[in-house]
Amino acid sequence: MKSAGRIRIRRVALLSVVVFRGLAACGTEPVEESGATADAASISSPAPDADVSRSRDQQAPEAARLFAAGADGLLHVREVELPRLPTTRGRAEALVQRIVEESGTFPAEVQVLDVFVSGRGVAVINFTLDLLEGHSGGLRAEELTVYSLSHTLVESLPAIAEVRLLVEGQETETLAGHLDLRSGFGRAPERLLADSNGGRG
Amino acid sequence: MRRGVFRARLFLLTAGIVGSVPAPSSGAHALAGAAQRSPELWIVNQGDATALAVRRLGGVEMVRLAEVAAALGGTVRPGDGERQAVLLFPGETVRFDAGRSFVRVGETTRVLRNPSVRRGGEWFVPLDFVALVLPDILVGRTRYDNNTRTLAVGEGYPRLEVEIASRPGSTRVILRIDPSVPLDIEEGRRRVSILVQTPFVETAFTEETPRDGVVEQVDLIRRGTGYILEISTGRNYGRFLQERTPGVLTLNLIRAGVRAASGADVLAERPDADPRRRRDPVGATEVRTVAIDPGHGGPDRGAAGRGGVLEKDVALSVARALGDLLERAHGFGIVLTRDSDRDVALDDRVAAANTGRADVLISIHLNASPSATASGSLVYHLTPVASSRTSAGSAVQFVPWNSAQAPFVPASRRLAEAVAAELEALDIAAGGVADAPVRVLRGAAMAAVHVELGFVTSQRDLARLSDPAFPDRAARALAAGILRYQRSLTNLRPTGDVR
Repeated sequence: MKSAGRIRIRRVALLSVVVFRGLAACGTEPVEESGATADAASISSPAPDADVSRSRDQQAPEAARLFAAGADGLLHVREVELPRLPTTRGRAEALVQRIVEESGTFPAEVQVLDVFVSGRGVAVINFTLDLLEGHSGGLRAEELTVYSLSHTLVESLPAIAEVRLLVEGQETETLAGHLDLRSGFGRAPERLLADSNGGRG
Repeated sequence: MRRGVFRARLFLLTAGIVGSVPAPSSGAHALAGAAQRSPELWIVNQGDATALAVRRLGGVEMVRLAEVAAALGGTVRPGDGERQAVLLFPGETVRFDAGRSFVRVGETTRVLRNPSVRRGGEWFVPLDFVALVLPDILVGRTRYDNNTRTLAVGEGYPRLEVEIASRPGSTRVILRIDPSVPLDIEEGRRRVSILVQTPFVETAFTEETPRDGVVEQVDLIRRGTGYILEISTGRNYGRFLQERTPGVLTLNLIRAGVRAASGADVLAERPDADPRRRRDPVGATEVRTVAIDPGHGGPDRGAAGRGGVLEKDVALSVARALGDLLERAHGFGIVLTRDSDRDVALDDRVAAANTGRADVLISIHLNASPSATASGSLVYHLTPVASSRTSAGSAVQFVPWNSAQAPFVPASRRLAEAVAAELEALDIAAGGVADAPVRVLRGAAMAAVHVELGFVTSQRDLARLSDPAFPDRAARALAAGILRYQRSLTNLRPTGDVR
């Protein structure tokens, strides 16, 4: 089953593992995506694939800011269009896929297994093992990978405040020996941004 | 040696070399492994040790009755008919019936698990006769140690105790024996052995399994007329230090990559004996020990540049040069988290620095970027991670962060600034100081920085990094940075202490 771009979704097999491991790692309670719990503004409502497709067909695209590595080794902002999806999770899925494909900071083979957004604004992105095995290494390269993802999501989706990365449903120490992936990541430090105001310009 | 029996007189083993021990007829004598049982039965009678070959007859381990009698000063004679035998000790008689699972001791009957056997004119008795019956009928204190298959008769054997303690950078094994006997050490592949030269020991110790990466298992096993405390080392084992006092041998097995200024430093508990050496980040006044962490290693090669330049190799070369320089020219104690091309877990690196009570940690790396234009050195210190905003988009929300590095961040920032200032001496653009959630710095209980010396993905930087003279140049710059940091600590001293 494929939907929301080319994200490979193993919902049945991985949903419980990733949600509970990922959100437990975030120090937050798992949030039912039925919307039955409070704070509708910060909780993604269910996004059955059929509904997502219908919404995509029916509504015009919306703009998002994507931060990709430039020739100078810094993150450059550029406007991209995304399907106007009804849920934060759906929008995050679509945006993550664009980042992986277009930021120039992810290994070519990596796939996104799942995306979740907790009620506290923590987005958990679950990648295939290729994220580790295909990474070129180097602290700067790790920073660009992580912050192209987190900065883009935080800047583009108001409901997301922090991004955490999982690999095959598990927490991992680092991408390639440097950045602590047990941390949550938000906006990139200014030294990594081509535009000193963080692209908010 | 007759019919597989040998009487091994006590003999001294030369230091560090185990003397050869006559083998039983089976030729199976060998150093028993951790999980192996001794291939022979030992009888130690008033200090005189005899090995008896153990044979398996009908699936049952048995020993020759005549050998048992000889080792204990008894005799064997035929009983009433061919299917009976009698074992005679002074004042005691034991009768055996071939094929029967009992023996008659005087007027009482003792049941065995397996029958005695007569084969080829010789009598064989099951081991449980030795283990269960003999201790009850021999004159003098007699006990059977199943772990080493030893029946001991008499008093006055040494009492042995073993204590094992796993610590972050090492594992300590203490052997105490009273009265004292000769103890030798033998190091082999994946093991360190303490040879205990006495025919029998009173002990409750059999084995322990620390499995902490340095020591996997410790077994007390018999070898010849003595014992071996065999320490099976793990993949993180580097080397050992020893300390001896009468009756006590302490081995400190050091985790690979941890280098101590002296054995005593590592062996002692050291509750900070020197009050001047304060590790309180506010009160730190000097640098005495530097932990140097060459990034990556082994299969983790780190970043790779053209021409086969690998981050792990350059980092190790610089680390070695820095360690030598600081130790030789400036008298610092050095902790090197790895000193060869091997992978060391990030937590183990920090543990080595903490255990070595380093005052400074410098982790050495080379950078890489998808862009070929990114270049320059950069010195990182750790900062708390802050998420940019809550889901409501209002207040700043700090992620809880309570690792060991937290109180040292100001000191780490000063160290980073000092090192960055000196890196300007390198022919690589100095990028200054930055902060990042660098994993290896989190648990460091000392001023700690992560140094990126240059980009292997930059053609210009790579030319410098691959220069054979680069490690020495980088080491001089890093050492100068540490000395600069040292001076800054001196300047922070209270007024009365300022020189």
